[in-house]
Amino acid sequence: MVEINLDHIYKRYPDAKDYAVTDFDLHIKDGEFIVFVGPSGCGKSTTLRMIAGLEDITKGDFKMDGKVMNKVAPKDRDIAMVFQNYALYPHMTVFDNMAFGLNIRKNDKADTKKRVDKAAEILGLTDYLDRKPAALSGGQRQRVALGRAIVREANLFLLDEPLSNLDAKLRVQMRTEIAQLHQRLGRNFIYVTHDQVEAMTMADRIVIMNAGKIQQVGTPFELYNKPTNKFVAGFIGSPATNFFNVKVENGYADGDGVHVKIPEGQLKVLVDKGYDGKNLTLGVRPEDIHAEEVALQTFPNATVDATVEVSELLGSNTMLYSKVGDTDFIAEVNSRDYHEPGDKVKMAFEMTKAHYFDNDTEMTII
Amino acid sequence: MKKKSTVFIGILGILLGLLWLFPFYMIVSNSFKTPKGIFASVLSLPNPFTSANYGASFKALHFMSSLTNSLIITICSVLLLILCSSMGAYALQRNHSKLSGALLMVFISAMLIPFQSVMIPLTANFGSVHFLNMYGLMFMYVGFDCSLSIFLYQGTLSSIPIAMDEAAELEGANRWQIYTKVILPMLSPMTVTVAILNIIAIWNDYLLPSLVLPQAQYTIPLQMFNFFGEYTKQWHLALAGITLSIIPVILFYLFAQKWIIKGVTDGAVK
Repeated sequence: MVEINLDHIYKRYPDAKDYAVTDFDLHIKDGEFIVFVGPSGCGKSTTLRMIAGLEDITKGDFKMDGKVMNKVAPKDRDIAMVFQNYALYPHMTVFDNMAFGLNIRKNDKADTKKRVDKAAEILGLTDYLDRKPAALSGGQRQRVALGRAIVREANLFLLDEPLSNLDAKLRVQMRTEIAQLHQRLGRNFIYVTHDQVEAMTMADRIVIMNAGKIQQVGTPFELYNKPTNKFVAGFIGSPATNFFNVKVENGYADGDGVHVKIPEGQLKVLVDKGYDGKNLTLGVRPEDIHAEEVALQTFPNATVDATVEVSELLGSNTMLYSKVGDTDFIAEVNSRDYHEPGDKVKMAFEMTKAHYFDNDTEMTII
Repeated sequence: MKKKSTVFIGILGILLGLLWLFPFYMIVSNSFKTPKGIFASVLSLPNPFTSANYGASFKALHFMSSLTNSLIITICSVLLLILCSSMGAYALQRNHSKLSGALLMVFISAMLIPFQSVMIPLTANFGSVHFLNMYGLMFMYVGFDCSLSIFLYQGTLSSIPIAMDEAAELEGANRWQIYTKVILPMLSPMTVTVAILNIIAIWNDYLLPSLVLPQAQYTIPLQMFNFFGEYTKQWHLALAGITLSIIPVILFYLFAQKWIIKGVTDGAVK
């Protein structure tokens, strides 16, 4: 059980001009499941490696229960880590792989066996303890890597994109297993991924990073509904939020082929903040764009005449890759409103759920 | 068409195999002949057949003592070589400084220096510090052969992910434990290759031991020279001696073969 503080952490690699991680400031409560998410090269793995002690911290303090850990060796941090490529020892059996850390620390043999057996039981590896990693499937290897972390009974578990080498089906299964494991162990988990679906489904709180900086920290609900900037709005949600460059004029958002009425409440805020007559970015999620008749009637002042370019039937929903004016956007509509490529379709924006971003700062206005 | 080419490749393979086996046949078959039998026909099977050459050769070679010397020198040199070169390659490969890159280039460049160009000053220097014995010889072998071994190990190490080291480090292992418990076992296919290359070279080496070793520490190849005098060449004893001397190397190869496991790192990552 441990409280973790990352106080204004910076990381610059030798010979590099810029910081890889800038002003990373985060407090992690006891037992929390935190997910670092962001595009490749955004600094999430670097931050995780600084927590593990595998990278030096250039500036700032990493604290566990108030104690500064910057100079503490990785082995003394009471941290277990699961690597992206598993890093199993190929010459050792599953049992020996899982017992390695305890054997190195000269733990009592009977206790080691008890702990490995218990972890193997949790992970369904009991029948594979005598096998070498080469004789296991991808999912089983992943479980061994998790088991190696579990037997240590560490206070903090670090998982660096642990599911990225698995196929889609196994990834969903392992996602659930890791979430269950977190509930069962009640320890702190810090999980790194670039997959927002993993982040949304597993995290208590998500840390979104871009270009070495934290963009937003919040629950999946907060990130989806209240993004702090254009990057977060575009990153969270699949497919990504559609953006239109518009001008606020006479109560309408006008531009990029769009002419839609801004709801009263939103308009008041925009006018109060001085955006009347100014350009800004309108963000509408694909699932908030509708093509069914009832929606067109409900939002008569928020419709656009679009041309469907590509249709993807996904089952209950259909993705309509469409164009309005010169702007491409995606609408996720009910499959009953399926349209062929080339169709001219009237679509309605559910403007009450729209977001507005400042064009200069890209910060959320509403 | 495909069948024809397969047959052709098969025949070619058999012919090449026979070509390779031929010297071995010559040595073994002639070692069971009398001197007269050898000069009558080198290629024929032994007639009359005699195993007396082996007894005489065994005695003339002081076989047990020269075998012991050969074994001590070969085993110790190869063990030292494996230890030093794998550790050196590990340090050079995992350390990404400019110095380690330069050092690796120095090691690789050293492979280009012909042994003959340094053998006289080397033995003179070792002689001046009274190191012309089997221990000095081991030291020389480690020095001469570690360039190639470091080069070979370095290549294999670059395919072992750094995550293996990091995982072990987080588990609580120190640098020595990471090397001995994780890295060295993963290098075992290359260690077998390094061992085979060096055991064969050191076991059969004549020139360097002839310059360094005192008579009491003669190895089998040096003792073998006794069969070749200025006026006489005792081929029957020499060939029996050669047969005896290659048995340990063949035994080692048969033993090591099962350790040459392809893709030993399968399952380590991904």
